[in-house]
Amino acid sequence: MTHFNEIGSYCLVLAFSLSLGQALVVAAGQTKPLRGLARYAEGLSLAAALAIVISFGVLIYAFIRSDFSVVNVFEHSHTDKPLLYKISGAWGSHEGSMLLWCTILLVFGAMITLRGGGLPAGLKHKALGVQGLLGAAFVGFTLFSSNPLWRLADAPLQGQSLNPALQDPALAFHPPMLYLGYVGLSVVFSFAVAALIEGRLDRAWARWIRPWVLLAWSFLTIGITLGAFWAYYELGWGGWWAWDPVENASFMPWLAATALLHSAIVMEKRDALKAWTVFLAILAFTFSMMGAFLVRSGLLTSVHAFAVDPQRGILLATILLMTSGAGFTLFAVRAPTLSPGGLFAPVSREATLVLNNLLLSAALCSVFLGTLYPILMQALFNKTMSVGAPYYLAVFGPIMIAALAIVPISGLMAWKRADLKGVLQRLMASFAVAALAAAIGAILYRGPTLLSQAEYMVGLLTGFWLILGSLRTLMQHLDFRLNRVGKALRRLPAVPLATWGMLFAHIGLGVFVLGAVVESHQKLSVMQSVAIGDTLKLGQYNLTFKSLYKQAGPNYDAQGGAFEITDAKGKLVCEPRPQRRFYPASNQVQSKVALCFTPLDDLYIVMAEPQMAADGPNAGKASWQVRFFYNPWVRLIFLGPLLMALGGVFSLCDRRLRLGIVKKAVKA
Amino acid sequence: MLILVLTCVLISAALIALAALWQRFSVPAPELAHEKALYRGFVADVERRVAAGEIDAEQGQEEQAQAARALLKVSDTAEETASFKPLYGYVALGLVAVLSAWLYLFTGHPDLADQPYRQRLQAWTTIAKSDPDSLSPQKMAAVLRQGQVEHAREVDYWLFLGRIDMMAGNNYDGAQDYQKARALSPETFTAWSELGEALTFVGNGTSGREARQALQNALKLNPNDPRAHFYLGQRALEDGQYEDARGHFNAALNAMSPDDVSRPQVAQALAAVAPAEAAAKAMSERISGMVASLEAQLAADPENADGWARLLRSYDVLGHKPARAKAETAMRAHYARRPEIIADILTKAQTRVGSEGEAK
Repeated sequence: MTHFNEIGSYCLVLAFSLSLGQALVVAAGQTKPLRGLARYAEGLSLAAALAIVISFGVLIYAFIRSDFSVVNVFEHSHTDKPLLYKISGAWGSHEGSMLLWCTILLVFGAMITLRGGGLPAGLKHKALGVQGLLGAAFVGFTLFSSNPLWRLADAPLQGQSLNPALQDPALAFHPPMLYLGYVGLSVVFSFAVAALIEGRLDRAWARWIRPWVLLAWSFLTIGITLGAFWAYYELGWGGWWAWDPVENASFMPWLAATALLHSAIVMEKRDALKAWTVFLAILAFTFSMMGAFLVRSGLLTSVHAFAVDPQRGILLATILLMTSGAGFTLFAVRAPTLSPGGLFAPVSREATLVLNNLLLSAALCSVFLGTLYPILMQALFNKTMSVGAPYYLAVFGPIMIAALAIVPISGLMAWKRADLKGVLQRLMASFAVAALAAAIGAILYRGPTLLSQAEYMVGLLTGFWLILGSLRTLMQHLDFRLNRVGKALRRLPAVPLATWGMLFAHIGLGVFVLGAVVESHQKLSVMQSVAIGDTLKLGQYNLTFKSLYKQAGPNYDAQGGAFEITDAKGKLVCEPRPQRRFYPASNQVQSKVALCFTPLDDLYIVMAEPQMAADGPNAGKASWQVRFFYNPWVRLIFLGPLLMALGGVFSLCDRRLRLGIVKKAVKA
Repeated sequence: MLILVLTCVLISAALIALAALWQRFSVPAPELAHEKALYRGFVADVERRVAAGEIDAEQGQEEQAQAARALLKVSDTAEETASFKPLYGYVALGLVAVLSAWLYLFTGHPDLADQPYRQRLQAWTTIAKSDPDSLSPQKMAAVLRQGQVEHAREVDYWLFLGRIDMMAGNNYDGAQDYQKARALSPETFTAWSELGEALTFVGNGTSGREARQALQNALKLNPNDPRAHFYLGQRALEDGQYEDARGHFNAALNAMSPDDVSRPQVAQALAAVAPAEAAAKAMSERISGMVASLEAQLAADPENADGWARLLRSYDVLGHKPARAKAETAMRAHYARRPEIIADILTKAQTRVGSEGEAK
């Protein structure tokens, strides 16, 4: 008889005690007689991380072995489920995902110990203390109220399986990526609180936190993109972002982290914006925790939300209020004592980055209001309302366009004092080409209204401006001249990785903007009931329903349609095969979208349930509601953020920003 | 249990030892020396960046001054740590281990061993061989399913598995088993008949198109199949085809032996035909009266979208196709310039009676 599950349970308890111990030894170490006790936080953080990794490993193993004596496995797995989804089922529920959250939190705590050799001991130990406190709070919540290793004395015969919509490769990796981002910001929070306690905020601090912000930001970018891609092809509605409160819950920390990334640069370079940077560090993690609270509290109804459970929501709200409340209180007490730092001229790179921060913060506020307003209205006045895309396009859109417009200008500005006229002259050609491309695009696009036409043109201009402006920045780094191309190219390897990171991130943003603008304005769709042999026309494409087929999957039975898409000339474009899958274990049906891949555009087909015509010419004949979308440039929407994340990785690989680099310098 | 306790003690000991050893060997002490080395490295890095042109000399000087200030600050506290007794640390680590053990007593279940599915399946297989009657249909179905590759071409295997699945309440799996039996032997009427029954169960008691087809195929192969007659009779009753229903139920009763346990159920179904027919007739009369009144209202005031929808729906319920076509033509003529209202009326007319409020 084996007791792996109980070993996992014990390790979860151990992780809680070790985290609590980690926080307490640092607290006790602040008293004179026990000053050296704080050192033990390092070893305790490693031990806590190992304990929780064992616990999480045991949960995954229980899913792999279909051990239904574990309540979480019984509720979210089934013996017929493919191995990948058995494993991803471990974080497919509220309880399992909380354990994943805690695992990442404690592993990041251990990383401060392992990769923080170059940090001053006082700062490192205080950061570990805060991290330990966060670990104890979240592991405690998981252990006592959401334990994924809770047991049943008699295991049920079969499991209830995982929601079919979650049985998807993108969604298998989406939560870990997102949590790596959310929880990565906890390290930044811990460093901010530690610095406030120490009363020491300087350039070195800004440099120490930048890799963590970059790491969290990159994972958050990948996580959000994977989520959007999943929503796009799995939910069958043809869109990729719905301004759903749960989507916004992940977007808000991303916006805060983006602002933080830029303000930390100013702090590192110019010793300015200290209070603002530390405020953003606290704010970014507060939004991460708020995201966790929103999806688990029962306040939101969404395809993404985990559970309707107000009791656990109250516990999470308490953790959120206590941790961020303590952080902000400390900030309020300490902020006046922080020296204002370096001065800079209104026309300088610092000034553009400050403007960028202001605009990103305004954008963040607009999303925050749009997300919380309906919830508050419901809670206070019992009034149901929703804030949708029109609000965000009207409020968030213009702010972001202004923020994006200054990106290329900022890239060419000098620190301290810049020559705006010179910068604008250097960017003139990029702007002219971007404006020309946008004008051609707008002429080719025949929008329904003048406003729509103008929106389209401004959107294209922003996208091209970001890409071409960033390329101009690269040319500046290479000292590119038309008559000395070879010499400029030889300088390519000398361009710092952090600069490549910045360029990739900004170009990726431009690519995303182009995709989003073209897709939202030029998208075509048709929905019609079709029988075998019928043809649907959409733009230049004809979709013909050729036949029906059946397919047995590992844990589902599918009925699919074999379609054929031809272009205006009758040439075969592709043969999509959308399906409707029936999952007997959960007695649920899931539509499976068929995508036709062309380099930039998608042809997207989704089938609904069959209907039998009662009378008319098709009496007794089955027909299916088929939705056929043409999504132009949609691939750029997902490619852009991946380029941005790649930029983050490039920056992380830069010698100066690599975690633990100062430690190596010390050894040398 | 003993192994579990030993494992937990070992894990605790290993992790506590790791924490203690890390502190002993990896945490630099005294801290002042570490800080000095750290800031020397920092200053060296600043110098390298100035030399590489990454930052200007002024910024380099500022950063070096900051490093010096930080070093001065840390030296104030670092000396005090030298007098720290490691015993306090070991006590703290010991307390962590004790707290863990104490908490586990409240949250854990040391008496519960793992129950992986494969292990449980092996145990059921052993029981199935020695004492099959003691095994529940659910467990028996799981045991039998292990042989599906080995017995893939055996009709009897799939028929038997289908029956066990149906007994276990796995109606969908049962229907799948019968589909396989039917595919292997289309001339076996029981495969069709039991498939029809299983599909009816999958359809929550209603024989859909596939189920009806299977039951009719069973009757072609065996006109005296009581099961097929019973379910086809039920379906005919639901469709309001009372004569057909009577015929099927009578045929089922005639095909059954006098001591058949299902006889009372079929007799009860037959007895229910007459009251259902009377109720349907009364309903039809009520609807006819309502339709006549509605027709008169619409003739007087055709600007009544809801009225048109109700009228079309009533004709659908009554099955009066020519009258429905006539009413639809009149409605279309009235709303000829307002196609959106026509579409709305046709949509409402298709809504099942009584389902209007379901969306709420």
